[in-house]
Amino acid sequence: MSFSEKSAWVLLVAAVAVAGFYIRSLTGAGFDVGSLSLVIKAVAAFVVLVVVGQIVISVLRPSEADKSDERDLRIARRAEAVGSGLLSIVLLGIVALGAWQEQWMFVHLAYLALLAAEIAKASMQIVQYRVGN
Amino acid sequence: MSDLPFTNRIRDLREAKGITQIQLADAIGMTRQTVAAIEKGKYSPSLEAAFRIASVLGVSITEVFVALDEED
Repeated sequence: MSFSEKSAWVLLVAAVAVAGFYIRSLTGAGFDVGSLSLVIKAVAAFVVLVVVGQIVISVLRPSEADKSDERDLRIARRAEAVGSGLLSIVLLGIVALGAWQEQWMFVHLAYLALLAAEIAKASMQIVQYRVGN
Repeated sequence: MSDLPFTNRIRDLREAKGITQIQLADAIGMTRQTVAAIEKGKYSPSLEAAFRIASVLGVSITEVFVALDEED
């Protein structure tokens, strides 16, 4: 298994574990209540799990720790496209839900985030076409 | 099963030269897993990588990668 694949496993395990912890914390209380401490704990737990996981896989095979190649990059790009597609769908869902519940600040923020992502994507494409890739 | 329109002789050429997957990978700046994937036809390398592979194996690129309709 390549280092990049191991890194992907670390990310997957960390994300599933933190999602499980986060959803369990919401159970009973519901989605319309929350606390800053819960969000901070979840973000910190994710970062710690990922960093510790990366250190562990690096220590286990130090010779592979800095190695990645065009296949890793190609796989990462495809996975990134799936992730960003899912994120766009979720943001559109937040726009729809926010409009339905008249939470306009969230509608504006989610929609502007979608537009910002499209602007960044299109700009990056144009730059790469112009510069050459 | 591979959907690539070509096959490759990397494993035969590599073994004939007495080179391991790790040695080939290090020589072309790739991971051993990618070399294994190329040999099995699970990954199509870039043109640049294909030239580097041919160079390390000491043959022309057409001796390494063979179109399926040209194969014997």
